[in-house]
Formats: sequence, C-alpha cells, structure tokens
Amino acid sequence: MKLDRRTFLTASLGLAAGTSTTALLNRPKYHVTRRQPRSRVAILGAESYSHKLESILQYGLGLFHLDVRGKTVLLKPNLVDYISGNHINTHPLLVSAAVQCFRRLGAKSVLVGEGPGHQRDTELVLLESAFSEALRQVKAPFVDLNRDELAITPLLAGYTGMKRLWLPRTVLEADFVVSMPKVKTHHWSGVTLSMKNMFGVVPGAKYGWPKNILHWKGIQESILDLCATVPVHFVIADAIVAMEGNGPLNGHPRPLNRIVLADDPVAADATCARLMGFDPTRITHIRIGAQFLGNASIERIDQIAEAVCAPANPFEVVPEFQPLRVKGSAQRDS
Amino acid sequence: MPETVSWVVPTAYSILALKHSRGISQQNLVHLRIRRGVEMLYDRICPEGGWNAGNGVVYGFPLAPHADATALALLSLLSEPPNHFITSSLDWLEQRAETCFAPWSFAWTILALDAFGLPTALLTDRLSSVVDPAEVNDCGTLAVVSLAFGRAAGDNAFRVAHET
Repeated sequence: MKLDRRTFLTASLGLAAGTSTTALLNRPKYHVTRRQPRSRVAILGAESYSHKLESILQYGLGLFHLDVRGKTVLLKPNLVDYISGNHINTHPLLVSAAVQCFRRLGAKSVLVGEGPGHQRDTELVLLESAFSEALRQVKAPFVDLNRDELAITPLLAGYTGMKRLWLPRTVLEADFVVSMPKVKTHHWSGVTLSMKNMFGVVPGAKYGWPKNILHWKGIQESILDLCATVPVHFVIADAIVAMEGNGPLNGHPRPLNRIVLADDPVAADATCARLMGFDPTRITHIRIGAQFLGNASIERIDQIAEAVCAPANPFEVVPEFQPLRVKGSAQRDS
Repeated sequence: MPETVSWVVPTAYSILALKHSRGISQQNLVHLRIRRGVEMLYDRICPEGGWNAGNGVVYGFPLAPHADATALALLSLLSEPPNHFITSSLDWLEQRAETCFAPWSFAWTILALDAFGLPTALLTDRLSSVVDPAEVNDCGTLAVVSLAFGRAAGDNAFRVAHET
C-alpha cells in the first residue's frame, strides 16, 4: 500500500473549522493540565552560528531565573537526517552552548538525547552533522533514544486513542527536559517546533522509522498525547537559520537570526509561528495545546526580550498549508 | 498489513526473510508477497539510484538515498535478474562507501557490495580502523559489523543464503 499523504493531512490539517476531524480534535481529551496563568518567552538576536552563542544563551537563561541545581537536564535537539547544505538539524554549536550553560547553572548532569525520525543510523547523523565533535569538545554524553532502555508509559491525553507507549527511560527519568527544535516548516504538520520535536523521544527500535505508529494515528494527535505525557520544561529554539518550503528535510534556508527561549512549549511554538508569519491558531496542535499544555494567546505571553516581529513575507509552505500564512503585518490573535 | 505503511527497510527485511524461508506450505502466497515487495522497492527507488526511507521523490523533489536502506534493499534483490535499478544503486553505494564512516551504514554497505561480487577488501580494512567493537553500544550495530568482518574471511551470510 502506498502511503497516501492526504490520509495524514485529513487528520493533521485542522484548517477547515467545522469539519468533523477538527470537531473531534476540539473535544477535550486530556488528563493533565500544564498551562500556567502566564508564560515567558525571550526572543534573542543571534547573527550566526558561532561561539558567541554561549554568552547569548547564558544571558537569555538568566532572564528566566531557572533553578536546575542538582537536576538531570536532558537536551533534546532535532536531529532528523543529514543532507549536505540543508539546514535540517538544530545546530551543534547551540546544543554545546546549552550544555555549558546548564552546567554553569548547577545541573547535576546534562545529557543530550535524540532518536532521529528519518535516518536509522543515528551515529551517521551525529558524525556527518558535526554533532559528535561538538559534543566531544564539551564532554557531553549522547543517548540514542531510538535504542534506549524502555518503560511502558500511560498516555496523559487521548487524542490518538492509544492508551500507552513504550518510552525511553532517559527521558522519563530526566528532571528537566529542554526541547531544542530547529524552526522549520513541515509538509505534513505545517510546522515542526518544540512540540513536534518530541516525536524524537519515541523509540524507533520499537515503533519503526519514521515512527510509523505516530504517523498512522495522526501527527497532530500524537504531538498532543506526547507533550501531555512527557513534559517539556523549557525550550531553546534554533531560528538563526530556519527552513521554509518543503520541510523538514528539503526546504530552503530562511535566516531569522534569532534564538527563542521559553518556559512553555505552546508559547514557544506560537511565538515561532508568528516569527514565521503564520497564524498559530491555524496550527492544530498549537491551538488544542493551548487548552491544556500552555499559552498561545499574545495576551498570556510575556515577551521578556525582543518583541515579536512578523516578517513582511511569511515563510513559504507546501500548497496544503497556504492558509497558515498571514499576509501583511497586521496579525491578530484570537 | 492493516494500520501500517510500507517503508523500504521493513520491506527489504521481509523479502529477505521470505526468500530464505523453507518448508512453508503456501509457496504461491510467499512468491506473491515477494513479487509485491520487489515491485514496491523498484517503485520507490531514488532517481540517482539507491533508496531513501520511503518514496524517492516527494513534491517533485528527489530525495538522497540512505546507505543502509540501499544496502538492505540490494541484498533483498540479490536473486533478481540484473537491471538498471540494481546497477545504478550499486554505483551509488560504491561512491557513498568512500565517505561513509558510521559503523552501521558502513557495515551494511560492505555486505551488499560483497554479495554482488564487488571488491570490498579495502573497505573492510577501513571499517576495522574506524570501529572499535568495544565502543559499540548497540547490539544491532555490533551484529552487522561482525557480519561485515566475517566477510573478510570469505563468509558473507547473505551470499551463502542466496547460493543455497
């Protein structure tokens, strides 16, 4: 059977309000509420991938007054595949800078973990994207989440209809999970940001590549169930060179010269969507996530560094996601 | 299979298993499934040869092949009549071998090239220089690296299975 993209999109593209799919998604199906009254986001300028990132990040983390002393911090970058010249993955310099910063904040240990969703050979991605060398330089351990020890875990939301998933112990036992997405468009989910990035914790050795069960159950639904079950405590998004068009692998680089920090994944993703020129309320997992996982509304997000500045030209997307784009500069939030 | 989608590597594994199966009563059904799998692999081939995880072209954009998927697909096609899909994929894999240093992909590459009778002695030497089995944490990688080293002793599990 050839995979029909429209099968995915019917479930994942909640653009046509009032459709049965959207109506089903809109029914509350969560058993946990992580939404705080307000969320904080810091957009910080970063001109390029350089060793200056560490000082920028250190400054940004200081704005949040995080207490990670004695905690095990898991950094979860987005490593999907390596294609020379394509800005697919979270840049290794940003990840190694985060390792150093969290150590400086007193973390007991800082791990880097990822289970690439497209490329089975995790070591190949690490080697060819220069991650191995970057992590070696800061002596940071890497855990291949595709092949980690697993524990059966009840899901704390029921959008997929699944009751439980096998998840990596490294993720379940971490005290403080930091999602570090690459800001990209995605031809099946519209965007891939801090929430979609959590697909990488689902073990390929159990569920296949590219995490087949999640695609079959619905991408938007799976994002919601995963983020309900594995709390994202903090976000550091790589928007220095983002990706537009046919992401997450074959889009075009789109420099935004920013990193985005947040204490709430929904607020982070809503802000990143706005930086991309998208209306976050038209992205299903952000809109539904704002009911229980965090805040998407501008009124509930404190921008504690730069203000959100939507681009004059929204990011390019594949045809199915054209409705995400907000033309002109006058974005209104619902 | 219901609620699954057909990707290259699971298909290749399935073809390998079915081709090497013995004593199965429903041989016609097995043959049919093998043909369906082989057709699917040919359908998904990348324009330059080799295989990615699934489709070779998405939104009109050609995808780059993966070494491990290509090697596994080729091994599953070992008994198929020679054709341009196989030839172009072998060409691509030989080129990729020059820059591949990751043990899993590299070992599969060696096994596939060797199974098709292509020279791999230098590649196996390089594998032994880049892989310290004591540092390989993953059992799957360790197993395929061991198979690739076994090839150096003239013992390619896939070629033997094909010839018997």
